[in-house]
Amino acid sequence: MITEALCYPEYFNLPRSYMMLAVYLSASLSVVFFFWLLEIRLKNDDVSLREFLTLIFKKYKGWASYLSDVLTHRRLLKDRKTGGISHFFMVYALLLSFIGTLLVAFNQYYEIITGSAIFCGYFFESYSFIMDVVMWVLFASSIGGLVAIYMRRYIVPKRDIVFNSFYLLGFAYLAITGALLESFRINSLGISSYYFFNAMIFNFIKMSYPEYLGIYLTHFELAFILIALIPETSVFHSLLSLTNYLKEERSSGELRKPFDLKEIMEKGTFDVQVGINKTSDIKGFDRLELEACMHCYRCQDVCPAYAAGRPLSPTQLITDLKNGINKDKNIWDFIQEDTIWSCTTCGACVEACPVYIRHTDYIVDSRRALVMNMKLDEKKNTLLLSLSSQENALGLPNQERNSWLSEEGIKKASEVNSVENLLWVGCMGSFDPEARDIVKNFVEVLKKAGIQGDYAYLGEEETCCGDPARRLGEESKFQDLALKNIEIFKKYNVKNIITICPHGYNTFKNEYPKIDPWIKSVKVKHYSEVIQELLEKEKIKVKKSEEVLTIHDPCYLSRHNGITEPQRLVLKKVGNVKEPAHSGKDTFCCGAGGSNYWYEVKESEKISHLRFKELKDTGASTVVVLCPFCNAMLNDASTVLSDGKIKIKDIAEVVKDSLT
Amino acid sequence: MQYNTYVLIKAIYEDVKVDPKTLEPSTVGVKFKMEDISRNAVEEAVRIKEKHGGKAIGLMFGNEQQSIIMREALAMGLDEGIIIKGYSMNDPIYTSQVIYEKLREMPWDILIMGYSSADAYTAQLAPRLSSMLNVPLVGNAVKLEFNEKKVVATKSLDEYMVRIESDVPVVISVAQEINTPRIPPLLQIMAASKKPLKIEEAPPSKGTYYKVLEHKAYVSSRKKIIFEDVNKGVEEISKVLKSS
Repeated sequence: MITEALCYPEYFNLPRSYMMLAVYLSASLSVVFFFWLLEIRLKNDDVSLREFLTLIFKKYKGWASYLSDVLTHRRLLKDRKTGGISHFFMVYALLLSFIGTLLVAFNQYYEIITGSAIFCGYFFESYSFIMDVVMWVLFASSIGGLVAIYMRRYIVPKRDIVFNSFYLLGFAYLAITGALLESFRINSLGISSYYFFNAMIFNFIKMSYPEYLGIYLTHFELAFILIALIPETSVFHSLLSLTNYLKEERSSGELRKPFDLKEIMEKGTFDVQVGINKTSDIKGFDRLELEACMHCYRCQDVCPAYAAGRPLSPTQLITDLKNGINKDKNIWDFIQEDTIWSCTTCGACVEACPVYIRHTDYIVDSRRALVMNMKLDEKKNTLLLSLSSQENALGLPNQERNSWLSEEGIKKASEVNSVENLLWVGCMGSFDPEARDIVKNFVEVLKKAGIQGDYAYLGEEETCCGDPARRLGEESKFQDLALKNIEIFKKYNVKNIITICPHGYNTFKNEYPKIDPWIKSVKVKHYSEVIQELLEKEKIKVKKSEEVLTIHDPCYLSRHNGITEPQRLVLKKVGNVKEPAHSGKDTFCCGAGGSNYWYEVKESEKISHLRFKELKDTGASTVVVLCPFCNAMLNDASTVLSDGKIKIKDIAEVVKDSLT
Repeated sequence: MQYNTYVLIKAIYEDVKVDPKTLEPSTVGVKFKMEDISRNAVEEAVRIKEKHGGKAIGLMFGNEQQSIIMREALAMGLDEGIIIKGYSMNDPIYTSQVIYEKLREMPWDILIMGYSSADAYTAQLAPRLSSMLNVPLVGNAVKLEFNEKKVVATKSLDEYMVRIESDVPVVISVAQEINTPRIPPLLQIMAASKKPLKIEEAPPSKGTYYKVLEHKAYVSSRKKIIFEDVNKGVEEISKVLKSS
């Protein structure tokens, strides 16, 4: 400590009242300009300032989780760490500078009111030390930001490159001048201390008082100008990330509902605009959502379609939409249809995006437009025809569907009044021979626990859950199927639905409530959860072997619904579990999701092969799957890449084989 | 030049259940679908309209319950639909008479239909109508190009592709290869209920020339041999095939 008496040398010989007037006038102008520019920017996207502020303040409950995400930089530090760290330092440098400014302001009022300053002594010296460090951090991260702009020069629009570069140079200027001004003040007071190490560094610069004054004025005026300009620059992404975070309360597995089929049928108003054909079809906060993109490539890094060489880069797609947003362009003039079809809706991009853009919303909305325009190829058309004719994805007759379950002691719903546990077999489980084995093995587990009689199945009354229709973009068929299914669930007073397929699980759990809230009273479970419960309650017992197992978590179970534990608890009881590079919520898609199982897109390597290689690298002899689609995809990959030596087994099969 | 195009649409049963004892088909509760090649014909009619303008009108000899099929065709892009009631069984002589009576009342340029329907496979309608209406016939076309009062059609024969030119008005039958029909989403089918759909009575039949004597499914007996060892599958199957 230098001396007890040393306080922040505010205004430093400048007349306080005039300076206060200048500073507060500038600050007020800065705030006024900020809101003015904000209003103009928002108006461009058909959002009023009122709507914008209402969203932010009405959904205040979301702030805490948003702030914890931002302050920890959870998403930014996960991948692309160099950029993430630079961003982290930038944000914290600005935050600490802001706190420093608040301290100065508080000190000022305190002094005016009480006549004595409090930003003095140890408090002042230590924060000065922090600010000296912050200056270098802000300077370095501004340079880091310029490097990032340079590296993204091919994707960032030219106007943004110029604007953002000047903005970052402004930050660098603030950092340097801040240090120079403080050094001048400290050195003029004849203080030499490591608390003020910048003053020691810059001691060689001999500044005259008029020079000091000039720099001082440009420093604080520039700071206010930069604040006012936020809405016009890419720094606006900081606010947009908040509105993006707050505006959607859907879980990542739930797609947007563009219309209500029941309402349309009742009113007879079929003429609704569905999907994105033109950039002007993207409205309001969705436009702002796109504008938050900073081209950081985190979505592209995690995208399985991009990794497989398909014509989809989520970063490029969002950038293209963002760039076209003010031009009312036909999106099909600059986006290939196969870009839209490449997506497996695995949600990795959505989970990775630091500004909370939901790429899959735009992709599915574009698909909806293609479906409405009836511009699908033969395979996709076949899926639509199967869904409309037989109401199942495989297009097979529903006669005698799953009737074999009666012989196993599972009751047929039409033969009982009320269904406690409905076993939803699903299209694959009903018609695909390999997927049927999953159901058979699960039933064996139920029989071992002696509870098969507590379960019922629908048989001919079971149709498609609607997931393939919805993710292909045929929203009306999805809602039609959902409405019919909900009526059947009501008819049998269903209490629990147990699904084999994570896609049915997701759509029943996350999407059906928007079709009919009644379904919220029904508990939806994935069969892996049931197996885990049976093991936990010791209704079944398994023996542990030395077999090395690895788990392939399905996107629609683990990423979209956060179910990562039951499968691990179960498998650790039957073998040695080795985790692949991507696991749990960070799983890597098998390539079948988003209706991709039913059609093909050109690729340099199959997504399922990429995933299989990762799983194989664990050294496990068996890959355990929890989804009939993953099962089919990885089985094919294993046949091609390992001659079938790496076994692909469903969790029910693994458990059934280990039962004691 | 714009064309007034009429397209014939047939509704057929979705999938007919077979009684395992009598081997006779049962159509109780079975839904209708648009006949496969009719779908191609509708697609082609819509494409002609989209390219050259004019009107595309669906014509169906069927019954009122099949109006959902006509709505689907309207959703694909037809402007109007006409259902002529009174269809009871497959009888190309009566069907062609019904269509002829309808078409001779009004102006038209193109009459297009599937080469043959996926339930009866008689392939008679196009030649019969060509003869009755006294206009040229282009049969089994896989490609159509219109230029004013002419149409150039590509026909696919067993070993050749033949291009022929014909005057318009013309009766055209199309093969399935001609296009990939668009599939309308449910919402479009519902919206098509706002398009004009007329339901008319068919003129009386002048007599039946056909009688269905028997309608039975093939008897298929399976050997029901299951090979457990996949690796020996080919060897085992070839043994069975040789011995049978």
